[in-house]
Amino acid sequence: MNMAALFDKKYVFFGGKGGTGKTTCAAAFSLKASEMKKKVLLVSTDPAHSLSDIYDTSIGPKGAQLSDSLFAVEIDPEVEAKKYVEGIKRQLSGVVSNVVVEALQKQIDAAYMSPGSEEAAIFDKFLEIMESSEGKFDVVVFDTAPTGHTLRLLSLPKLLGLWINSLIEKRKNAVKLLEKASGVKNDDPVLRILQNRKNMFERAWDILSDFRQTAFVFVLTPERLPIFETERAMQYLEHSGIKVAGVVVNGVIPQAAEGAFMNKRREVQNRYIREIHGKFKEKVLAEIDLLDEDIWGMDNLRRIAEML
Amino acid sequence: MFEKASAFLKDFFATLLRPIDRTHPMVMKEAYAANDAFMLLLFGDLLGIPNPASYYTLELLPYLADEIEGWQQRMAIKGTVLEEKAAQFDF
Ligand SMILES: Nc1ncnc2c1ncn2[C@@H]1O[C@H](COP(=O)(O)OP(=O)(O)OP(=O)(O)O)[C@@H](O)[C@H]1O
Ligand SMILES: [Mg+2]
Repeated sequence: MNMAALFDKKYVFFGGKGGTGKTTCAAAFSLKASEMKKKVLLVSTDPAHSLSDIYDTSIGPKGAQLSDSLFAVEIDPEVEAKKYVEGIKRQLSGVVSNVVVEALQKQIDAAYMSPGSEEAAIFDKFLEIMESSEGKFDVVVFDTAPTGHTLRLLSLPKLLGLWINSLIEKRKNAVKLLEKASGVKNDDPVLRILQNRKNMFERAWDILSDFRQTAFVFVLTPERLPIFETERAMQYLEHSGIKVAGVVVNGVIPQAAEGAFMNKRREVQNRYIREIHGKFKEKVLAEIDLLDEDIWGMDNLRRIAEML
Repeated sequence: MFEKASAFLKDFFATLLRPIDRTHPMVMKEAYAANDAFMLLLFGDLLGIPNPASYYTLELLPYLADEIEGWQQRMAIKGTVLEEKAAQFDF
């Protein structure tokens, strides 16, 4: 795997510790891919979005076109969860009395606020985007939230797949016994919905674990903690069955920077850069210089893109 | 689709309400127990058992709304049995 090969993937994820340059790299990579005449969709799965800031234009959950062949969208979990819940409330009022709807309101609100909901809402949208990009985009690039959040998001299909399986098994058993007792056979809509979900999780996992079309890239700075975190996250992903394509080292002090302070910093960085090469070897895809200003707007992004 | 769902539920409940077939009371009891286990996995959070996937249980509500109440009542009765058992072991 090298940098050039990364541009041939269908789905490219940029992950890593908070503040290491995920958004910067994802945005620069997308820009470069779009200038290679690919149709690119850049998606932020980080609830604390910053694509709008880096491109200096408002993007949001509806998305925006940034150039001829570059589009971006920021998934908003609240918007997605609302849509989902409203749909369910409409269905409910069609099948049960208002009293029951009222009583279930508590259940709905509890689920809506529960810790896993934000991820589930992001996950559903994320799969929808991946599947609907088929034929419309050549590359879908993901700017993800800091490591922990993203690892949870990626492990969702496998974890909940297990949960769904045991639900299906239990319901099947109950339906079978009921049929035996009543002599009435029927299609169970509950089983149908569970099966749909199961299929969704499986499709998502098929995409995520297919390294021929999907690539995970960790962005790290030459510092102690990002190295540790990247190593752990990589182990976690590979253990769960997702191959990591490589790492991008960001924020390398350029040769031109001079002075005693810079020389000292460079010395420290060089130690860590050696460590990174020792640990990640051929997985080191690129080294990106620290620029003399923070990065937003096409011009600065292009400077970063040149180093990818 | 929803007509179909409620038709299914009607059949389901008609079955449950029918005078119990003498040859099958055990099976019916078993069916209840099996479905209760299913409901517990799904809506345990209503009984205070945290459920990491409760977001995804919502889409089943339109089809299970009618079952929830009976289930909660049965669980409440079971709950007291469980509590007594637990008390014996001083949890
Ligand atoms: N190579 C670089 N040179 C100079 N500034 C940089 C470079 N890379 C990133 N930055 C700056 O560092 C800050 C953090 O970068 P960025 O937002 O890309 O990180 P992130 O990993 O996406 O952060 P978060 O975890 O908050 O999403 C930004 O202000 C960005 O402009
Ligand atoms: Mg970011």
